[in-house]
Amino acid sequence: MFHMSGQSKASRASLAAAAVAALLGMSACSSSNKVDASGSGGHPYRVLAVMPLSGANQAIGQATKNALEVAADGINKSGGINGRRVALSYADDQADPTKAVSLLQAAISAQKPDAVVAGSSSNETLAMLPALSRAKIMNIGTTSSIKIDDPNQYPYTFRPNDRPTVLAKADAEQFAHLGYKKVALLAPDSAIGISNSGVNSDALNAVGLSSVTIKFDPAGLDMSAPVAQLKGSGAQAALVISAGPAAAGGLILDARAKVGLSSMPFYFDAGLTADITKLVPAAELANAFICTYAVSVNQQGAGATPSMKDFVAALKAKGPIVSTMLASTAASDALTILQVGADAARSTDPDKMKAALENLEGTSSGTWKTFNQIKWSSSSHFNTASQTSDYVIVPVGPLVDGQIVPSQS
Amino acid sequence: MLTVWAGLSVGAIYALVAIVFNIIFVASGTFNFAQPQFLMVGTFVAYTVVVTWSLPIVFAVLLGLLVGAAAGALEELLAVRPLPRNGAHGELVTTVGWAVIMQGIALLIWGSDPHRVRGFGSEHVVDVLGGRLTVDDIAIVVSVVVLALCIRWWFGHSRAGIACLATSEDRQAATLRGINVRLLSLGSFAAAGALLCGMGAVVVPKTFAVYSLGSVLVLKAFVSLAVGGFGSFIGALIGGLFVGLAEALSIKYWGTQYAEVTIFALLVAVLILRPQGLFGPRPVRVI
Repeated sequence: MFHMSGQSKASRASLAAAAVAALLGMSACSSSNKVDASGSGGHPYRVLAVMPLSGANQAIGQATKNALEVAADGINKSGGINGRRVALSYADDQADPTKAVSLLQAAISAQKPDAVVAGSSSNETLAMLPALSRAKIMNIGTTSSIKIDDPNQYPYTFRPNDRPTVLAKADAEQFAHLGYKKVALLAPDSAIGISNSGVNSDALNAVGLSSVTIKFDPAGLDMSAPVAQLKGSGAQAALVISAGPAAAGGLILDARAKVGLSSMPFYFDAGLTADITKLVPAAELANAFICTYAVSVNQQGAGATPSMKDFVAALKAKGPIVSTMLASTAASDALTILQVGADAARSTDPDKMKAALENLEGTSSGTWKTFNQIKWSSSSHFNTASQTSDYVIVPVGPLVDGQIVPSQS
Repeated sequence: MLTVWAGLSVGAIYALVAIVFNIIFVASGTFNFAQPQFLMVGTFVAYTVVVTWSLPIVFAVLLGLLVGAAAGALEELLAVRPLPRNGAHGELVTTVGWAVIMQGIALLIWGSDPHRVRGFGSEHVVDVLGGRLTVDDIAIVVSVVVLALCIRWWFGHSRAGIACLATSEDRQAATLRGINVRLLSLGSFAAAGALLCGMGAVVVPKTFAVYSLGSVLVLKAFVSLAVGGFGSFIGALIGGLFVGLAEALSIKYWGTQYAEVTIFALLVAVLILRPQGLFGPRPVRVI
């Protein structure tokens, strides 16, 4: 009578486990090809969102979370991602890039997600990108530093948004159309401010306008000194770059009144996310404008599409909308990228999805919320198909349900 | 002149925090890093009273005084008193912790968005000596100067103020002379908290109510105190105005990126030439 040795027992156990794993794998493969229209059950497509859900940046994190959930509901109702139900999970990094990387690595070790929404700021994203690329995980999101758009280094990273150069070009063309010869760029003394002032300066030069860059301290308590530098600069208008969610925008308009430049038009770029109508007296809002994406401007009027109305209603059902609508639509579009990519590739394999997205000819009307059309190429994984109609310049107005309601000035 | 006024109005806020740093420093020997957070809470109290409850701003001052006194006393009892007095200066860590707690609570209650509140004065811009500033700016500068003079007078002339000065000279000797140093410490934290929280209603038209205000102020108020001299209320006032002015002028003439460099260069210069600060007490050599 033969007795199995410990080693052969282990081998048999390994073989059995491998067989079970193979069977499970086969069933997983087969289910991934089958559309689960109910949006429930099956092998889920797991999307991990690493973003600030507490701390100073929780508002943008919460806005993104709500938009992802609304988008996931829509995707699951329409058949999921290549037949797989979207399952969202979250990790709270409190906008700390170091914490974001730790949480991501822990998540990858425990159960590798299929896709990751990497942060609410470019700093978080850039910290996570190397790990995501190594692990071959699709990375989507709304962060927009030019450094993120590097398909050679970060091949699985896709964004619904355009490069900052596109919006800068649209703004510069508008300024040229308005007859300005010189525009002052008021930029925060920060990485994003320095980067975006360079982008805008180049765009202005490209249309024959000159520019002067004046930096301000985004945490400063009085902007009179930097705004006073506009006097004698020869600029006919000022573009305020990346004013953000803080008080800087309000302080700049306060300073404009003190300096006596109320008649000089001030334009805030899309980096302004605070409602500055709540920060300054109404008189200071005259000659103040916002250069932004059309989607951030009131979409609930007669011209609003039914899908946009439904989207806003679904967001409101989850709580008050405190950030600009762009944050929500971009998050929704980011999740839609995965569905579009998987449908085109007929697979959820990251390499196949990447190739399919780079070669996508176009999508049906209404697929995207932020832009009419989104396209990528092998050299850029940011949207290359934005059009002039995607951008607007409107008088500063209150933010209602995440949408700017332009004033009549 | 516009830049000078801008510098003085911001400098007055630095001076305010520096003066209140001094109250606790003189009375208990503690440097309370959480102090600027009381001003931040005061701005939110003003927002709640004036905007949310639609009450006159004077109620914001009264409620600020109460909230600040309670929070200050609580800080002394929980974050300072339990520490051993063995020269380890553990309060430098615990007061930073208290600051983080206060900021976190403010964030939870009022969120991260800045809020505007109308002040005692007016947002209208007026011309003064060729420069332009708001009535609210003038109110901040005047009230901080008056406050500094009042506190200076109180410490030099009242019984409790003199007891504080005695405690700061020699805590053990003061105890032996019958001064209740624990009560003085508790009282100084409560008074400092009340003053800053109450003044929140005065500075809020300029700073807005925003949770990050304390973090913005802590370093510059500390520099103001170091320039003016630890222990000197007039020094803290002059130091704050000096730092605000230096900051505004450097931004105007050299650019924002040189503002902090200028402030710290001035600090280093003062510390080299006069280590005790411009108005600090001259160190006494004991033989």
